[in-house]
Amino acid sequence: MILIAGIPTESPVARAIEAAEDNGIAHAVFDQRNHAECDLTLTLDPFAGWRGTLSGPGLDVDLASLSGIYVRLMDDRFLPGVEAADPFAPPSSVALFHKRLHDWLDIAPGRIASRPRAMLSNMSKPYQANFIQRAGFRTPETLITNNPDEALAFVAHCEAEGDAVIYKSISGTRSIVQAFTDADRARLGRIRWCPVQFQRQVRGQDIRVHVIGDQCFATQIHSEATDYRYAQRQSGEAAELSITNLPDSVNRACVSLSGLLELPFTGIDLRVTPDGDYYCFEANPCPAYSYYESHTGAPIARALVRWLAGIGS
Amino acid sequence: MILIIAEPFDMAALWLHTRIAESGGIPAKVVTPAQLSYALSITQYLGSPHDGIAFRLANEETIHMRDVAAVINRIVTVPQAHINQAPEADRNYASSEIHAFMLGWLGALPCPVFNPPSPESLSGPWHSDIAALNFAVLAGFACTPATLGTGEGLKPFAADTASVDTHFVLDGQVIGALLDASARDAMIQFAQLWGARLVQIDSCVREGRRHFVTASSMADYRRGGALLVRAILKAIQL
Repeated sequence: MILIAGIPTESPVARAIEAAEDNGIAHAVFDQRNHAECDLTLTLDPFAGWRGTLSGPGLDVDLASLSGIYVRLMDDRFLPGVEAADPFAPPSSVALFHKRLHDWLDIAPGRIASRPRAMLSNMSKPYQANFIQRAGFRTPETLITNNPDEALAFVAHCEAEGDAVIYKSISGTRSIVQAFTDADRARLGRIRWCPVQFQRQVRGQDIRVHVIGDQCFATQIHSEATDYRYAQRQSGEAAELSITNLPDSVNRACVSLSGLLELPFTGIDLRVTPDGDYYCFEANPCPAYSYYESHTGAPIARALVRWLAGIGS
Repeated sequence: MILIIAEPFDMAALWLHTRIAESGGIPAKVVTPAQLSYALSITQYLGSPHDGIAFRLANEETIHMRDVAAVINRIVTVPQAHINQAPEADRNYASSEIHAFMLGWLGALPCPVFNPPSPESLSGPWHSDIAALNFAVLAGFACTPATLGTGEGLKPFAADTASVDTHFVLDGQVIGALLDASARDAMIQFAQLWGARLVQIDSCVREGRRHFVTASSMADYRRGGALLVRAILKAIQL
């Protein structure tokens, strides 16, 4: 049996449930909205480690019976009905339940897509860049600095070679990638408060690769926008998505990166240059794959639930 | 130079600094997380031939990480008093950015680091009590059966402080009092599961079996004494 954990109406979760039903894969759903009525009991077996049950409305699962778990949990602080926590008060029952759940997911046996602890690597793009390089990808020339003079020198260096510079968040906080313009020069002094990430813009075709186990599903994105996720806003036209095939070496590098980051299900952002060089920007630990699947028909949800069930690779 | 990044009240780090200085080898320098966080200039280049990290501190001293032979990393939190007055949304964003930067450059260091950072902790892997106990069981330590309902905390193993043994596992080598083969193997296995180059493991023997008590990536070097200092310097290959 597999467990699907998240908000069942959220698109990636809904598609996973539908794929499990369509493929005859036994599954249980932990509806995170029911957290207040759920219980996770763990018992330490002195030889086998933690065992236990997860129970709640319509749910009574022996954790040892699970072959795999799809984890797409919302931050419990933002669940409906959860009040903002007082930082000086003891942890709420909501927080305690979710902490226990995360602790267990970090050590649960079987196929976990993905463990909460492993998902944290996405908190820092330069941290992930170390793994990206080890996997064999190129990473864009980057400067992280709080020094305006260094930033201007980097911009001048890139512009002298005909390339623009973009800036974006260092952390996993979602930011809209922006091109560095003259207007930014005037406010560059603000970076003294906090280092900012500047990157030489890599020209080419955006590709999103979803890795599940050792399978890759690649989607190419056609867009004139600096950040295709905001294509309508930045270029006035929506991005176009289609299935593409990548060289074996690139697929292998994607699987390698997934392994290095301990993210068996991940969405990897690539850009291939006109010269055929593959640059990697980041690996998303809990990808919203449904956006890509709905545009291309790539059977990502099917591959995910089959992998969790131990069917295939 | 060995760079020790530690708070000024981190007695274990200061002790290690003194022992390294006494060894007469390469010099060691202590910098605080605040000195790094409030540096006048921070530059980190990635993906280019100029790859590297440099901090120009408030006293105008510049630390180029290419000149650093090893790092003793004891950063627990990154001081951020300079953004305290910012509006909440900006403060939260900047705080995430500063943490992400610290995680990134510490993880990119080409020299030996004890310990490299982990996404959940800048000073190296950190695991919950539940995970630590799971690793201990899998590694072969004796553990007391326990049952936890939602909201119940794990009671720490009730060990008499005087009977607790402290060992360190550094790159697969056990440092501390002599152990039988099975206990030594358990220590090594535990350290692998824990995932840090240097792990402190506290255990005790009860009814003839070695029980796991606790573990940490933030070693108290003083408990390891000269043996641990020598092992660290050897691991750094100095």
